[in-house]
Amino acid sequence: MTELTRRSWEDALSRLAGEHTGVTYVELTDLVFVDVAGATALAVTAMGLPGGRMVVEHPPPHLLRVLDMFWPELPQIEVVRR
Amino acid sequence: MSTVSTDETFVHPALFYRTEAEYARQTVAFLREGLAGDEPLAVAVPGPNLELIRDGLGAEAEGVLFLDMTDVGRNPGRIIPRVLRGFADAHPTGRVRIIGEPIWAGRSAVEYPACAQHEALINAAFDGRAVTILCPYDEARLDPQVIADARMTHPTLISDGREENSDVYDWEAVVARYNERLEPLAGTAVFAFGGDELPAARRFASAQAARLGLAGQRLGDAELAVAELTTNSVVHGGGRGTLTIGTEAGHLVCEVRDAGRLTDPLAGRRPPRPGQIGGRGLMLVHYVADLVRVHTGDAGTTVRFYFSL
Repeated sequence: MTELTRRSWEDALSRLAGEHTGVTYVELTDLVFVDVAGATALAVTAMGLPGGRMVVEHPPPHLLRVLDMFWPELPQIEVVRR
Repeated sequence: MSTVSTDETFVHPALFYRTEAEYARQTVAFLREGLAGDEPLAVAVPGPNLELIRDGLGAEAEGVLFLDMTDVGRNPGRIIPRVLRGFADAHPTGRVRIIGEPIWAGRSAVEYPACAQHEALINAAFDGRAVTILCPYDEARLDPQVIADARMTHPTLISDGREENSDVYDWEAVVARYNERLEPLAGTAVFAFGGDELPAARRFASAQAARLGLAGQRLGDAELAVAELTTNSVVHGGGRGTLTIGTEAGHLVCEVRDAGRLTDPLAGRRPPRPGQIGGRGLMLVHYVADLVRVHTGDAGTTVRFYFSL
């Protein structure tokens, strides 16, 4: 996920947020890299889930590093590590 | 009659000291003033000086946040967002009082311009906020130019126990003076990129950094930093740029040049609100690197970051 693919990433996240009311699962096994804009989109989507939460499965280590740096202990996000 | 409430005034004195005894006496007196006013207190100074203050305060040190500046402030570019704003924003009501000593005798000639710019930018970052930041300077061991710069970056000067207004205060002139041209790196790997090459530029940087000795989380951090700077070039810096990687005095050095111009002197130093989109790329570089140097002008912008090897 870089500037090249940012729009499709954001669109996918907002579709997810619109479809689910309870727990949203985001499976990221095949994702090699996420930059700060991508991590921001994920965090902001999670914060906007109405009463729900997001389970982020198998994210690349960069994503965890950026979430930890700018959104430590965000209650809406649960991470299942690789 | 002044319309500015003293409660909302930023207070930023430099303290020039020559001995450990003078250092302990002055800093402890400064903190006791804060204790008397129930102000939250933080001390971010080099390790040995941390002990002088802790010993001087004795039992009163309880409740004071102590940070080793050679660690949290290794890269002077992260002191404003992480250390100073971090503490001030955590205590949003009433005045907070901080001792910050970002410049010590061991700072290198490569680090110093970023240190001087940091001290200058504190004035912009805290203008109109109820914050007091005392910056000690070791007059016995620091270069006279450092002391001369401190007189320009601090509106108030304390020396020999006397406090006076600086008659040469001009922080913007210091930011401009240390906006120094960065000479080309020697023995380096170069990669030209546009928007389509962002993933390739990142992979190139990662491979070069690993070859030069970076590993684990530090390698991942360097990769993130390169991704942010190259993306900034594509989005804000004319659509393309040049990535250069090399080593210098025991450090991995990554540099990104583009045709853009940085107009906001506080770029990368303003902590964004949690829900804010954007404004974190350059800040991430400041957080993970040991030093960031920037040169910006009509001919373009160069950002160079350092990781110790």
